[in-house]
Amino acid sequence: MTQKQIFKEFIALGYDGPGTRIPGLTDIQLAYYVIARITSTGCTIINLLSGTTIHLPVDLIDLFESLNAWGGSNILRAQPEDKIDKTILNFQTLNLRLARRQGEYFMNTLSEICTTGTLDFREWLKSECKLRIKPIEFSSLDKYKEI
Amino acid sequence: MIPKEIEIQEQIIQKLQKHDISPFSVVFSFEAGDPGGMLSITFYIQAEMNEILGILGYKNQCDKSGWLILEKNNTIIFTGLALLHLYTVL
Repeated sequence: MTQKQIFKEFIALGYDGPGTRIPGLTDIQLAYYVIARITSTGCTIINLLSGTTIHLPVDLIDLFESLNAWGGSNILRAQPEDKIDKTILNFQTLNLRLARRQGEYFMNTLSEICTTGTLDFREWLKSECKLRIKPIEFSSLDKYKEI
Repeated sequence: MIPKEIEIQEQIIQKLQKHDISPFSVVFSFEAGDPGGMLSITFYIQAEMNEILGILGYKNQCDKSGWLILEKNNTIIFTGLALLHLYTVL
């Protein structure tokens, strides 16, 4: 059984879509000058040194947090390297650096999101599971990108 | 109710707009830069950053410990007394 088949089974079993989050804001310091800001719309990782942000939509976080709760996180890890988007690979590097510090649980979730390669994964979710997930948004002084 | 961090960010944006400056990013966090929080402002162009530094009289400041200036990223980070100075002068 492939990873995606297992994922499809998981969604059929227990994922009900994004949950309700408490309005407001929580900051987690991930490293020096790097914070994760959790709001009702999702989570934004902010690099204070350059103003660069990565915004993860709430439905994507909820999906992967549910997966954590079901103990199925390992099924997503063994993606072949040539299929991973280069930008996603950067997130993985970020995760490796940050997981040793604070917000470890959150960083695990981020790692799982990134390991899948989100563009391909979102398209697959749309076609196979009828789930529409908003893209991750990357924003820096030089560029804005939807992943 | 608006979180305090967002309220502070909006105040800073308004203060900068009085000087005809619209920054790329203004982020305030209590979690970083304890105690009192940390403010990061990233400008689109370096000339705007220099203008603000001029208004704040950065060169004449004796104590530069609460300032972090990243010219390459057009970013200024304020903590402690520098943050207080920004609030009073701007």
